[in-house]
Amino acid sequence: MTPEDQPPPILNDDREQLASDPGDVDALFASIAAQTVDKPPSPRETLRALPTATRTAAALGLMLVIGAIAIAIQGLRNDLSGADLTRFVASIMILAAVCAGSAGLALRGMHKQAIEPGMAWGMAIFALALPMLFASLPGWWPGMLIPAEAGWTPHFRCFGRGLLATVGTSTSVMLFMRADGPAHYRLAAAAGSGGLAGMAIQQLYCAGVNPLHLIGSHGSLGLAVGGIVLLVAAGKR
Amino acid sequence: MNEETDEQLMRRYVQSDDRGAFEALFRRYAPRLTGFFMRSVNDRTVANDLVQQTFLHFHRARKDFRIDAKVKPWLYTIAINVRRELFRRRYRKPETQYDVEKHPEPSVAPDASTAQQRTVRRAMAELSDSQREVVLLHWYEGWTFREISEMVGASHSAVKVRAHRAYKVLRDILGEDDLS
Repeated sequence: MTPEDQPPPILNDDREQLASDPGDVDALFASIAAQTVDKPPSPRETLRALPTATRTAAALGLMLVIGAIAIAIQGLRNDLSGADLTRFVASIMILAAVCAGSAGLALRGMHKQAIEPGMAWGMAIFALALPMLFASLPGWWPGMLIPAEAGWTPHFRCFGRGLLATVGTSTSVMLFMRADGPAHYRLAAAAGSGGLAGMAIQQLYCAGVNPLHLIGSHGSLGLAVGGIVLLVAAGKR
Repeated sequence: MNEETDEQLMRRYVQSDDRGAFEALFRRYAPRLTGFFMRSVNDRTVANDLVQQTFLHFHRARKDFRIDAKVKPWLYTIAINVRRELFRRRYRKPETQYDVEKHPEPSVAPDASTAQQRTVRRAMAELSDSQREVVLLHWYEGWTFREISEMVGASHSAVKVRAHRAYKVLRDILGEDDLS
C-alpha cells in the first residue's frame, strides 16, 4: 500500500477496539438459533431456503401457470391467424425475457456480489417502464380499435383483469423472496416482472390497440402494482 | 486437537443441518461482524440486529453454498448486502445522522467511549457510504482491494479510488499524527 492508501495513524487503535469486545455472543446465538436451527421450518421458510435457481424457476413456473389459467378463462384472441406475427412474437419474447431477468433481480441471493444501488434501481425501473414503452409505440401491436361507443367499460374491465393477473404473477415472485422486509428495489423488480407478464397475458387475449387503452390497461399494470407495494412497504417502516 | 476449518464446518452444516457446525461458525464470526456493524451504526442493539439478519440470511441461503467456495467472503458478502439493504432502509442511515453533540456519551459501551473514538466516528461520518464501506472492509476487516471489489460489485480501480479518497478525507480531518 502506498502512503496515499493509508488512513491516519489514529485509526490503528480504533481498529483493535471492537474486535476485543464481542458482546454477549451466547445471548445473540440463542436468539438466532430460535429463529433458525431450533425452529421447525414453516412452509414459507422451506420455500425461502430453496437454492436460488430453484426459487427463480419455481416463481417463473408459477407465473406461467397463472398466465395459462388467465388465457384459458378469457380465451386467446382470434384475430392473429394469417397475420405476420414475427414482431408480435418477438415482442412477447422480449417481455418474457425481461420478466425473467427482473424476477432474477428480485430473488437474487444476498450471498451474491452486491449490486450498486443505482444499478439495482435502474434495472427495476426498466422492468416497470418497458411495458409502458411498448404500449406507447404507435402501430406496434396488431389488432383493432375499440369503438368509442363502447364507452369506458371495456377499458376498465381489461385493466381489472390485467391487474388481477399482475397481482398474481408479482406475488409468485414475492412468495420466494428471502428477506422478511425486502429492499424496495426488490419489491419494484417483483412488481416489474409481474407487470411484464401481465402485459404479455393482455396482449394474448385482448386485441384493442387504442393508444390510451394500450397504455392504461396493458402497459401500466406493473407500475400500478409497484406503486401499491412500495406504498405499503413504506407504511410498514 | 485440530480445529475444523470454516469449509469443513460449512459442509457439515449444509449437508446435515448440523446445529453444532452452525454454532461454531457463528461464534467464530459474530464478534467480528458485530464490530463491522458497530462502526456503521454506533449502536450495539442495532449492530446485534444486523448480525442476526446476516446469520438469518446465511441460514436461508445455505443450499446456495458451493462446496468448493470459501465461507468467509461468502458470509461477508451477505453482511455487506444486509448493511446495504436492511440497515439503510430500517435505520435511515444513522451513521450520517449520528450527532456527537446530541449524544456525547452513548449509553452502550464500548462505542465512542473516548474523545479519540468519538473524533474517529465523526470523521467517518464525513465519508460517503460507498467510501465508508470500503474503509470498513479494507482497514478494519483486512480485505484486499481485489477481494472487496468482488464482494461489493465494483471494479478493482473504483474500489481503490474510493479508498484513496476516503483516506485523504480522514487524513485531512484527523491529521497525520497519532492523537492518542
